[in-house]
Amino acid sequence: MRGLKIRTQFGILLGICALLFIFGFYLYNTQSLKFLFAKEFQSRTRQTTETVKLGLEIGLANENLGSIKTVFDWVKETNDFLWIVLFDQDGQKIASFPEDNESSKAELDLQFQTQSVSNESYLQKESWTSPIASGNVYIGFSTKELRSQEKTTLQDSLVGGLIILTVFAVIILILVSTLAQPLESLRSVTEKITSGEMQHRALTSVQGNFEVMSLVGSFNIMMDALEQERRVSEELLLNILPAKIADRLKKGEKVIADYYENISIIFADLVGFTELASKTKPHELVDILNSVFREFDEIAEDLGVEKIKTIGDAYLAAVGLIVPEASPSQVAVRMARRMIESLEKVNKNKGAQLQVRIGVHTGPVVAGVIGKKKFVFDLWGDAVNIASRLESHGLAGKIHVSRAVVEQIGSAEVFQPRGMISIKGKGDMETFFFSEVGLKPH
Amino acid sequence: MNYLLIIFVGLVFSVDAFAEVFVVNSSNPLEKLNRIEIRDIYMGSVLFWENEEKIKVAEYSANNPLRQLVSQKYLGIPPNQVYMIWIRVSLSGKASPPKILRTEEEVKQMVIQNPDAIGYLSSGENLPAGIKVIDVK
Repeated sequence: MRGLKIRTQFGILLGICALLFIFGFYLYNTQSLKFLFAKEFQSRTRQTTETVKLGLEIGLANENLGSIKTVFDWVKETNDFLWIVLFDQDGQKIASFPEDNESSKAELDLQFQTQSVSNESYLQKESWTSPIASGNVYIGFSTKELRSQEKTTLQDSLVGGLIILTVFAVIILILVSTLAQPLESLRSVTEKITSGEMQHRALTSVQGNFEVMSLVGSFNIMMDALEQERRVSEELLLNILPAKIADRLKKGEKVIADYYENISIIFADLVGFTELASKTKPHELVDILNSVFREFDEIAEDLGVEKIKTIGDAYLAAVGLIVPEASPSQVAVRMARRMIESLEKVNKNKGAQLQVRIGVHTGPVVAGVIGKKKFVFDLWGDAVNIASRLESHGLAGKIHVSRAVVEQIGSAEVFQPRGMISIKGKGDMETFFFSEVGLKPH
Repeated sequence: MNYLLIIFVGLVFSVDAFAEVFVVNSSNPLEKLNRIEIRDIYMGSVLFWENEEKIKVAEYSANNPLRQLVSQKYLGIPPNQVYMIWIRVSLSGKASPPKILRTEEEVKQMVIQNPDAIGYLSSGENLPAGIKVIDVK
């Protein structure tokens, strides 16, 4: 039963109930009617026998043999009549019909005491008395008609039972539709939601029982609330992790560490922030920092750049991670330029004099999420270290880039050679500053 | 012993008190019957005349002295037993039982009116037209 659909379970249970009811009805009906027919048969045959007795008594008392013959003729014509035997007071047979009936009075008395209406014949007995003579009359009746009546009743009851069964079937179908359909809809939706299809809702358009439909309505309200919560959580998650990474984590991946061949890393650090921090109240400082990073975030979102994290007053972003870019360096430099521009706006609004120092390098990285708790999407590799070193060796308000960036952009006229810088573990590296001279409008 | 003699003489005289005669309709060609034929007719063993007409038997009540005489003399059994025989005949459906009449006058009328009727009277004297006595040996 557990594996079956609700409507099938309902159907089976109601069907069993209906069959039990019909069986009970059939049994009761046939048995009670059989009892009534037997009673009616016994009463009818007794009346017939009493009529013969009275005919004999009155006929003999009035010496009217003609009336006796009339009674005899009548009883022989009755439906169930089989035979009749008359005995005198000494038990001697006076007459019988058919005449070859050889039964003795003792035999008939024994039959009378042990008989049942379920036998093929049924015997009635009466004693008669008259001035001329007295004795007993025995009349045998056939139960064939009774059996036929019972058979007809059984058939009628069967037909009646089938009609009731049909009515029950219709009622069951209606009940199954009104009760099971909303529940099945609920189950189907629950299964879809379990498999992650959160947008599904149970059908409220189907006809159903009030309580069941209330349940369906409550379920949908609950699912709307859950969906709202889920969206909030999703948004929160997407603020922390890229959508694709979040999806992979939700699908069960424990460690995500993907290798990327061509990624541009932007490292930005606020210049003058330490001095500002010493002169400004903490909440004001945080307010300024928040304004700066919000501006950076908007630019990153606008250009499809992936913000990785902030470290104190530093901002780390990458290009080409989630959305592949043929020339991530170009986007990274564009991002850097707009970061510098946006800082002027913040300085103006907040009355600050902050500048930003930016380092950009393009190269291979490994990106992903590792660890067990407090997931953070992060980057690893030499390219990250180089970008960091470019930033730290850069100048305020300048975009300090590596040769890899220059070569990828391909417009050497917009870069000024900076010279050689020493990169820990890599040795000396030729670097460049981005110059506005010769730059095409963006 | 004397008592028994008196009873016997009384019975003989009572039997002889009637000069019973059997009568039929004048149109009936029958002239005579023997005692066995009378018994068979009155006990339902013979039901038809020679012309295949159904015999209509006129009979008296069981307590009628003439009936008792005839029953004993011709049938050899009392009237009550004759009734039992007629009950058997009636039940068989073969014949209609005798018509029980109260007086000899009624018997005469029945015989006059039915060409197939037979009855008996206490005397053959002063019979009306339409009736004739048959010889019984």
